[in-house]
Order: sequence, then C-alpha cells, then structure tokens
Amino acid sequence: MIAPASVPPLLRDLRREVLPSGLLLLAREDRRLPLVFLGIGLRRGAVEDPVGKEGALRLLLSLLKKGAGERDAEGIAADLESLGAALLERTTSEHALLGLEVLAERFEEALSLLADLVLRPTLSPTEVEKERRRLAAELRREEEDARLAASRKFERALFLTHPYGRTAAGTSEGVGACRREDLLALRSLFAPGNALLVLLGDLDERRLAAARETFGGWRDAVLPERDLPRPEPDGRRVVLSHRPGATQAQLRLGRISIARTHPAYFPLLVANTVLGGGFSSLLVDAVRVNRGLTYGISSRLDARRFGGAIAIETFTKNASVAETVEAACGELARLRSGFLPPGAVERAKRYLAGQWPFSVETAPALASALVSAEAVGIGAEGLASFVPSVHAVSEQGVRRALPLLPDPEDLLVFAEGEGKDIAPALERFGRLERFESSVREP
Amino acid sequence: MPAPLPATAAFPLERHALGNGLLALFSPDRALPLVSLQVHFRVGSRNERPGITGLSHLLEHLMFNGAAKYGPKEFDRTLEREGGFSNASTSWDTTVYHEEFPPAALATAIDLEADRMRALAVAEASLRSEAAVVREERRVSVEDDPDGDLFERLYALAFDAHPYGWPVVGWMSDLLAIGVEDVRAYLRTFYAPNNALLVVAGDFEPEGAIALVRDAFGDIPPGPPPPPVRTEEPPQKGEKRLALSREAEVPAVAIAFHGARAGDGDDPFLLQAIGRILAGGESGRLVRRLVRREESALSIDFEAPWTVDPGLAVLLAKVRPDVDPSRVERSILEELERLGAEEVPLAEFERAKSALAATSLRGLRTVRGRGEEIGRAEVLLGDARLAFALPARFRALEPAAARALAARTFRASNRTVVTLLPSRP
Repeated sequence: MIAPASVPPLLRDLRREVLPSGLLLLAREDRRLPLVFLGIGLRRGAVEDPVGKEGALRLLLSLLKKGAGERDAEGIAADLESLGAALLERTTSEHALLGLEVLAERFEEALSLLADLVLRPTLSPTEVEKERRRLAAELRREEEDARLAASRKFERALFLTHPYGRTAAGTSEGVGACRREDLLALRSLFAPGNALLVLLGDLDERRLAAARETFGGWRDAVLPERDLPRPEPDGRRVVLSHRPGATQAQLRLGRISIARTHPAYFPLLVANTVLGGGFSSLLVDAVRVNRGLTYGISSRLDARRFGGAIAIETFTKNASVAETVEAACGELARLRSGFLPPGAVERAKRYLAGQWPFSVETAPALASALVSAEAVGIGAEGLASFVPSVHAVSEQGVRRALPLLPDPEDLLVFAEGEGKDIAPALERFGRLERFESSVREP
Repeated sequence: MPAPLPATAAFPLERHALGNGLLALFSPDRALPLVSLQVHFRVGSRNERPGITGLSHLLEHLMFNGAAKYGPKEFDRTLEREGGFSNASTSWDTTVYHEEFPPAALATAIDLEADRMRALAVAEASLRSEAAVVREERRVSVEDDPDGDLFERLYALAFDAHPYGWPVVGWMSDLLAIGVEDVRAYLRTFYAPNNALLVVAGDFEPEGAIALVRDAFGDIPPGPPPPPVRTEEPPQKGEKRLALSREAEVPAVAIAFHGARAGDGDDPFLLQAIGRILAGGESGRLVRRLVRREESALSIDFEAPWTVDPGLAVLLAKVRPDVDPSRVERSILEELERLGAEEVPLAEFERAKSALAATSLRGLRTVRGRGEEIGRAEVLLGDARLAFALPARFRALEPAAARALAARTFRASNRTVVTLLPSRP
C-alpha cells in the first residue's frame, strides 16, 4: 500500500503487489457501483512497431478479440455484450492497455475472457488479413478528423527519425504492410515482467484471489531493458500538409522538450499551464477572447520517458493563419522573456492540482494513468505525488523553467489546410516544406 | 439464461424548491473530494425561430463573458484559482453549465452561477467577438467535418416544420446577424430561475449547500413562463433522399426515422435496445453482417437521442472506400425490416439489455456524469430519480414490444436517407 496522508484518496488505498511471475498487480476497491474494470497494461508501446509498419501494435491489440482459446471472433463479441463490457484498447508510443469494464457479477467470466485474450490469442491468418484490411480503411476514415490528423502528422514532423515519430495509432500504409509474423514477434511484449494487471471497482478478496490464480502461471521470456536516445530539437521549420477544400487551418506550434523524470518537469508544467492551460491562459485570452480567431487554443506538455514535446494546438479560418501564428508566438515570447501576470502561477498550480483527480475519476482513466506512470518510469508513487509536487513549485522555480519553453524562433510551425489558401501566410515564417517530403522513416 | 442484473447502487437524491421556481437537486457522495455543480436551463435550439438559429448556443458562450460581480474574463479566472474547471453544452432542448472543483470551492461556484443568472452583461463588442468564435466552431464541426455536415443535412431534410430541423450551432447567416437585442430578449425569456434546475453532485454537505443556494439565488426574480413550442412535425408522407458530394475520405450513408419523445413510456428505451441489437459493440447484427462478413462497411453507429419532442433514430454507416453505399443501404434496410417482422431471440435481447444496463451505470461513474443524468432525467423524463433507475428500466423490456416498435418506426414513408459521396479534386 502507498499511503502518505498527502496522497489523493484515489491512490491512498491502491494495492500493489508483484506476483511470482513478475507480473505487477495494482488494485483498488470501489463498491459504489456494480462495475469492475480488469486490464492488462504493457510498459512498452508503439515504439516497438517495426520500421515502416506503424500501427502493428494497435493491430495486434485489436486482433486479440478476433479469436482466443476456444472462442472465435463472433463468440467473443457476444460474450463482451452479455458481460456489459466496455472494451478499452489503447496504444501510445510508450505503453499499451487492453481492458474490460463489466457488470461486477460477471467478474469471473470476464477474468476468464481477459486471460484468453492475453494468454491464448489465435491470430489466425484469416482474421489477421480481415482485421488488417479493416484497420487500414479505418485509418483512412480517421484522416477525416482534421484535428486528429494534424496532431499525428505534427508528431511525425517534429520527432522525424526518432521512434517517437512513429504514429502510435498507425498509418494505413504501415498497417497495410504488417504481416502475421510481425504480430507474432510483437506478442513477446506480452510478458509478465513487462505487464501490469489492473483491477478496479467492485472487488473483494475472493475476486483478487481468482485474478492471482488466473494469471499466476503466466510464464514468458524476460524482455531486455529498452533504451532510446533522447530526441534532439531542430531549428525553425515550417511544414504544410495539404487538405483539399478545408475552410480552416489546423495549426500546431511546438518543439522537442524534456522527459517526464526531468527535475524541471513540474515548474515547466506550471509555466505551460500559464501559457495554455484551462480557459484563462495567456493564449486563450490573446487568441480567442481578445481577437475571436479560434474556438480553442491550448498548449500541452507531453513528457515521455526519454524526452517529449511542448505543442500549442489551435485552428482558425484560412484568412487568419498569419495573425493567429503571430499572436500565439507573441504570447510565448512574452512569457519566455519573464512576463508572468500577477497571481498566474498560483492560479495555474491550483488549477492543475484541483483538476488532477477528475482526470483519473473513472476506472479506465485511472488504469491508463497507472500504466502510463509505470511506462514512463515514475510508477504509482509518482502518480500519487502529482498534487503535492505541483503545490511545491515556487514562482522562482517557474521563472527558472521559462527558458525551457520553446523559443518562437526555433519552433516547428505545422499547418494542415488548403495549400493554395494558406501557403502564402506560412511562407512569412520561413521556408515552406511539404509534409510528404519533410518526413523520413522513423 | 443469464443471471439477473444487480440493482443500481443508489446514490441519494434530495429535492429543494425555492420560492422563485428554481429547483435544486442534490446528490451527495463523500467517497472522493470532487464536486460538480450544474445549471440546466430548459432552452435549446427547439426554442429558436428562423433568423435567430444558433442563439441558444451563442448565449451559452456569452455566459462566460462577464456579469455584474464577476466582470469580463473573471469567471474562469476565479474558478481556476480555486482549482475548478467550467464548460457548457447546448442541445436541442437544454443548455447545461457545469463546474467541477474541489469541495472548498462550492461557495464560489454557486456565487459565479448566481451572478450570471442574475445579471449577465451583454455588450456589442463581446457579442461580435463571441459570434466569430462560434463561426470557427461551426467551421470545425460542420464545414470541415464530413459527419457534422452529413448530420446537418439529414436533420434539415427530415424535419419539414419542427425546430429540430435547424442545427444547434445555427446557420452561418444567422450567426452574422444576431444582434444585442435578440440576445437580451432571449435571456429575459429563458434564463430565469423558474426555467432552470441546479444540480450538485459529489463531496458536499447538503444543509450548508442549500443555505448557500438560497442566499445566492433566492432573490433572483422569476420570469413569465416561457412561450410553448407549438409546432409539431406533421407525419412524413414519403421517403426523402439526398446525395451529398463533398471532401471526405470514405463514403457514408445515414438513414433516419422519426421516432419517439423521451417521455413516451418505454419507446425511447426500446429504441436504445433496437439500436444495441443492430449496432452494439462488435456483436450487433449490422456490425457482424456489414463490417465483419461482407466487409462493406467500416463502422455502424446508431443513435436515438432522448428529446422533449419526437426526435430521430439514425443509423450511420461509414462505407469502405471501394464499396457502393447503396449496397450497404440495402443490407441495412433488410435488417430493419427483419426486426419488424421477427421477434429478436431472447438470448440476443438479454445481451442487449445487459449492455444497456452497464452503459447506464457507466453514466454514473463521475460526479459530472451523475449531475448530468439527474438533470436529464428531470428535464426529459420528468423525474430526476429515474437517473438511478435506468438499468432497471432497460431490464424490464420485452422483445415483443421491440418488434412492434420496429414495425411502426422503420417504414419507407417515415425514412430520410442522406448519402455522402467523397469528391476528390
């Protein structure tokens, strides 16, 4: 149990034990609703996708329910429905999670189903082909979501050849190139030493014992430690991804940033919140409230195990691209040069600390946060100390962290939109590269 | 036979009526230090008219731009300073404001909501700036979004007379033309305490909270009863169709039928069960047939949102790029016809009921979710307590009633079809 008094109640009664197989079990009882969540998380994610086969791990996760143990795809689908299951399949660059939230009284059946999916997937050639075709087409459909598409392409353009440049969600070409052998090789990630069993909700000792029993015999090869180089920032680049007919441009302005375990993580997180967190940030004020240029603007610090990114995300009509980029860069430059409005640091700290519990209020959200915390190297203890760490940040600390915000002169300016309408505006910020020719194989 | 479903964990619910007509609904739960405060106004695009479409939603934006005590930019600043977050949403029938915050911020959140209900400032400059923001919202959610565009067309085509035919976000021309006087008149008519519910869910102490609510809201004068929405949608006389050609990655087909109102007894529940049988998870009939076996569709979704007046039941199929959408449409129509002709086997019906019971339990996991379900049950079903009884309502459904409703609803003359065909320059 991890239990200092300052730990948020959500994590105060988190049970943590390592089973003899090396599998880490994290469990928390909450019996207010007759629902229970069961999930298997992996400490490795899409950085393990083979080069040129982006989306392989997502495809593998999605295939588990297409046949496992004695069950076929339609049988599993019917089982999920009768358990009242919401299925969670999550793949990020550094972790993955397969989970079921089910009616609590069906716990035993759900446990047996999860064990089949994780330990005994069939991966039949027919199902692999079928699911590969479906996911490749699904990825094309996801391209319709301009915001999602822009964020994915921005990451590729930012991280370039670093494995973080691989789109965790996959690309339709990458998935199209996956073969069954690739998936069988990726199955080695499902090793007890690389995995977490997360149980949340309407639990009791009997159910916990059943889970230990079910996964107790799991034996697989031990994975070697994985070390990635730190991603290195580039200078100013301007990249355009053409989206025919778009009336708006999706804009992403960002730069490579620090890892989650960097000592300046919390001060920089607070600085980034002053810049673009919540509805009273510098960016919302300048770009949305004062100028009416966008419906939404925010800045995100995405700190991973070996490095990360800071990115401002917004969108605006084609005619206001230049004005929006200038206004956002202006706020960034102003903050970076030391302009902190009175009370802004305290407000950002309270906002971060106050909102954190809401981000892990549901079982799937808490499970995702726990798996992510393990993968990024902070563990459940690191998650539990989030709120106290935010409170401990001083204004001086934030000032010292301001130079870690991206220098507007060194930003990647990425836009997805109708090329002929927005290219002239973008050219004001530097030599324009086309997305297709700017990315290399990560 | 599957085992019977468990009873829903009962969260408490208290009801307090203020003299000015404001109804306060409290659901305390001290398990986690989280609170959600919500104000549900009984106003949405249903209450608009041509020329002011989108006004309900535009007003939702203006509610964050300053009132008497808390001026421009102060709303979010004040709340965020206490660790809170706020947002709002507008639908056909309601506008819902919500704040999520740590328990210590309850008095502030109540004060902020009372201030803007009492004395919202509506100025020309802030209206123009906010209307520009909403036009960007419209561009991202309709003009540049194939699904948003498709649904806007579908509703506009399906409804001849009822206000559900225009988009909640409003037509672009109205967003350019709505003036300060339109906003003020709307505000006077609909933003009075007698047209609102206040919901608090989570970690708070009800006696203290009702005292705060009485203090903050008690002297806001009630308004006259809002004018009723008189227009009823006349029965549809024949199939309607539209082929929409626009930028998109994949074709799609949306099929809509005029359905039930939320208050129509079991019908809205039965429609959800029918939707689950057709398109639920990976085992829905259409998912198995079109996504899995025929490999003609990428996804099948069903929705029949609960509404004050009769709304639409919609099936949306995203079609594989190399497939003719009319083939997918034919398969869907066959399955719909089968639902009206043959009773769903009991085991399949029970699975759908389990899934719906679990889904409605999931709606209660968060303080915000509980608040929203309480408000929705009160506004749409007429009784807030039903928020916690939905699993039991789903559990009680019978396949024979689902068959009868399917036969009544899925008629050709009650059908509107919009097909999206991607155009590539």
